[in-house]
Amino acid sequence: MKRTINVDYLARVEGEGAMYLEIEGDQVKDLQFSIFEPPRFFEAFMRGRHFTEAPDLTARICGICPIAYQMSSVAAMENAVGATVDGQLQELRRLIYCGEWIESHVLHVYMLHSPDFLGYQSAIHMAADYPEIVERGLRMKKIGNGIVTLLGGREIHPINVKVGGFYRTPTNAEVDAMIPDLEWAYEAAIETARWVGRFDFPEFDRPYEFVSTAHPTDYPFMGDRVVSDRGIDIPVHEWNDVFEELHVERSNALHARIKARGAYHVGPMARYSLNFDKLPDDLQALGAELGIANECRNPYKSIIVRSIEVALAYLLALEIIDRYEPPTSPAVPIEAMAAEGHGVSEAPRGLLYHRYVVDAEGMITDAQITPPTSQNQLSIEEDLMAYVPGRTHLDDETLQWQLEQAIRAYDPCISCATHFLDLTVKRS
Amino acid sequence: MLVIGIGNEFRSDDAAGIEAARRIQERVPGIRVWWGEPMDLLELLGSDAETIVIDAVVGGGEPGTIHRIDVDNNPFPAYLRASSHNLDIADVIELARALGRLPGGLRVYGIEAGTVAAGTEMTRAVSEAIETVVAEVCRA
Repeated sequence: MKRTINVDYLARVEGEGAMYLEIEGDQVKDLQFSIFEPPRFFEAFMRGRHFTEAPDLTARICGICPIAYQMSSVAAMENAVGATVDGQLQELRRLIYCGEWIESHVLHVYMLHSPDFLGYQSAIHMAADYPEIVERGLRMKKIGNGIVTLLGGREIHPINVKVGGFYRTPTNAEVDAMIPDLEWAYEAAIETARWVGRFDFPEFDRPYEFVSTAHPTDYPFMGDRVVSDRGIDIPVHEWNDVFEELHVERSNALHARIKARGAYHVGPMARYSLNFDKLPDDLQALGAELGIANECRNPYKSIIVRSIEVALAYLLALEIIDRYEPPTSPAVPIEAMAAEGHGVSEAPRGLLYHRYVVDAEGMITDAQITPPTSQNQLSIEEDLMAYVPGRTHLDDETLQWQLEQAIRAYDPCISCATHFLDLTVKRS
Repeated sequence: MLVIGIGNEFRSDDAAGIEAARRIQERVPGIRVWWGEPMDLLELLGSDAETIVIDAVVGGGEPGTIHRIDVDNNPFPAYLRASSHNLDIADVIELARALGRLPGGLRVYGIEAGTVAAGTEMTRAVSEAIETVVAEVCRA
């Protein structure tokens, strides 16, 4: 019997997605997961702009993870000119990144992903039965918003990050004011992880090649190396030697792959599995308690990993604030020079690579932006291919539900759209 | 009174809610006005007794049609749902209702959009409808 599962799309600022599956017998005969992503256009219109504009312009690519775009772009520009931003300025960058992980992950865990596991069409339906839990998620998210607002100047499309540091750095009183909320939120995040850890998960461990940014001592937000669990360990400027992006006719986004091998996986599961030893002991123990000691290869369980990363972000925020001393200058001076620079950082949904070529006047002449969702596209397709065999007895509705859930597990920028997809089934 | 404008000012008529909130702010000094993402609206609901929300909608009607939506007693009409956001205005209102945070005296205006394509030009009928809504709110 041949079945076709065809899922149309709904337009969203964050992107459009579609899924098409043709199943014959127990096998997937044809599968297409197509997305449209705006960053492609940004690469072209970055040309001719001044290098100092990169963080503000690229922040507009995504309303959910503007900090990631700002951080990868400043890392690339500082790499180009050989500047080092460290000490309290680097700590503040980690702090604002904590805020973004919190906002994005909490939204995904509470509003987009947990309704899947509890059998609700949306968070609204879930809120009627679990009001305290949804309230907890909203309060947790708001605390993340507070960090981004304080350091970014405003919550949406933050404007305070610049090449070299910040335009303004906060006072001790400003950051200290967040401590009580952060202490509450850390405990709330632990409870969140235990709550999602009790969900029912399909058995579905995948042989991903995990790729993430590497930092010598920290669970990575930023770093100058890229590593994988199959031997990749390169300085960021060798990115294009190892990875490539291919145009696929059905999709407006480029599909990234490892030149030698093909699909790879970026995101919370990759970070967690490659950097488990850099988590604090308490969070390593929590991972073990929830059945994901050392690594997690089941995309449905990424909700647990996100919850642990949220706990980590609150904890790191508390540590950074505890050690905080306002820097003498809000930014390191950066002079333009003709150079090429590469930068990576860890957006909530995975590694984000930027490359820029800048001329002697500081004007950008070439830009390359590789967002996490386009890197995960092949991996998503392979997951869908692997999920169907052995599950074709499921009716269309159930199968589609689980497949959409598998896509949502990546928290792609189209996750919002996949919540409202239409389904067409043709049987022959 | 709190006036909340929802929309994306870079998607043509989707800016209707934001533009309306701006005009109201110009005419009624001291009025509390806010615009931005629907998700953050949840924090604001319930902070003022009288709250007005203005958003562009795509309901299949003529551009500029004004929908006065009674959400106190009815769910947000499904046919008006349209958003380029994470959660749309209907989601947020229904989420607030489920959490018992929906204030009494919430008035929602939906202005039928002509186009939500990328750009900052607004359909004339939509601009006129904004003026009607602004006048109505300022009279209240």
